[in-house]
Amino acid sequence: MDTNMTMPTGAMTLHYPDLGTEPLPISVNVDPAYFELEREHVFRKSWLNVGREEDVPNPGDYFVKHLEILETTVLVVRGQDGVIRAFHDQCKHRGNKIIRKGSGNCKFFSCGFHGWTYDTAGKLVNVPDEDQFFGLDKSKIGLTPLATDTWEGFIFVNDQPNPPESLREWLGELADQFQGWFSAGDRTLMASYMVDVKCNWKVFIDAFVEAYHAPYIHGRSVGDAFTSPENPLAHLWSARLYKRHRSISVWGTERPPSRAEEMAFRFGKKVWPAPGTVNEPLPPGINPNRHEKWAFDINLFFPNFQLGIANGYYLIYNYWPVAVDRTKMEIKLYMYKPETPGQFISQEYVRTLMRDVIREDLNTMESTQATLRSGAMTHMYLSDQEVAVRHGYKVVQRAIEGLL
Amino acid sequence: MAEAQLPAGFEDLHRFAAKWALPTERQRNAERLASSMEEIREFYDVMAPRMDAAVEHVNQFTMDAMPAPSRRLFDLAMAFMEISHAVEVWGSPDIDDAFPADRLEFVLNY
Repeated sequence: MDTNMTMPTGAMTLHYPDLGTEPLPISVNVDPAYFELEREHVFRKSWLNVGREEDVPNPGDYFVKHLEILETTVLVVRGQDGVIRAFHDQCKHRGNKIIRKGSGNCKFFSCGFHGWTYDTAGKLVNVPDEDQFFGLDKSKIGLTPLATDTWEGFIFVNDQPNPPESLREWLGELADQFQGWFSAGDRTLMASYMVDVKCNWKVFIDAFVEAYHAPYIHGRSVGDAFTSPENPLAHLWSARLYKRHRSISVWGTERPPSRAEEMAFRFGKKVWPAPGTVNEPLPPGINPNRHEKWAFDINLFFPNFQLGIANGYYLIYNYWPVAVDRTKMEIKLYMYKPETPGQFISQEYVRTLMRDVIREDLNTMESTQATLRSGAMTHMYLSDQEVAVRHGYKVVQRAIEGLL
Repeated sequence: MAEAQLPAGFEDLHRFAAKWALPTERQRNAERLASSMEEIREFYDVMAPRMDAAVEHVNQFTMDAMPAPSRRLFDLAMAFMEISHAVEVWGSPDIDDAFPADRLEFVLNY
């Protein structure tokens, strides 16, 4: 039951005694050797989200995604049998990339170099001039698979062909918390951006898993959606930390809409930046305490998949490390499918404001990374409100030490 | 006689069509960033009270079956939403000291 005192009492960080409260070293964000450890022990050993089932709706649909962190290009394809698979986009003849980029639909993939052809289940079905080879066994040189599985419509791949944990085991407590919410409500991709930023992937994520920055970074824009006299510093409702993943519930409040916002939510449905009100059946994992003054939940699926969920929409961030000081971020907003031009115009309000508010967030990362290299500062100080930031560093370190 | 730029009844918006009736978000955003605050405010002030009528008009059609003048009106309404933030939020065409807009890649072509 909400009261006028909105501050969650009790310390989030101290609820997890093994987290600690000490300042954390920043060397992990600038050290290329640590980055290589992350590549080996985090990214090569994790289930990574690469898309959604709707990206490949029909048999033969495919897309490719270059993942610098795995030093490979992943080819995701829905086979003729309807099963979604992922392969290294690499011809097993001499290693040429088969699909250069993009997406499409086909029954077979042919390498442009010498015409070697694979079907959509990765089987090598044709080698031109085959009798010129010596003991070639086509059945043994299909496309190299990555372990692939889906959860709530999200496609995950794992660089280990036989991961020690299934996707559901990996998701742990989060596996059952969303219970089909993503396939209900006809939510569809209505905004999509990509940005290439000169900062470490952890510095990037840090900026998006706390609300402490809201009154400052978003002071002119949507900061007043997360603050009020009763919660002036955007304190969180709660944080739930798990072995790898974490969730936070962000406080939110109604504020008088601007002229364009009032129009937008009259021409179409009310979504971000209006706070989520509990008027849609929510699964247990979203706003678990059913707070009324609730903006959204942020779920960070270790290592790099962020799922922000509110009433009526969800916002995906995928953070792809390229180098110790460079990260590419994909931003995807899913909301109701517009049925009328008016609803499309309504969503343009949401899409364009969200895009600009994210640019406010993006403003801190390169400047932070640039100063971290100086060595003038060795540790960062994290408040209770930044508990999700702290948890991120701890989990990465545990992964590197083999303690997960 | 040139084809009407906008549907009948929206002649008051003709003078904005060439500049603001752009078909994609990328183009509308670029135009906003290249404009002065005076140009943006003029469009905002004239378009705001016309938005209800514009939406009522375009809602007669579906997105994929809109006659060209109506599509242009639709684009003007989309541009209104784009520039609204310059007027209502930041008071300038772009965010102060912002991450460069041209480094954000637009993946969809809306």
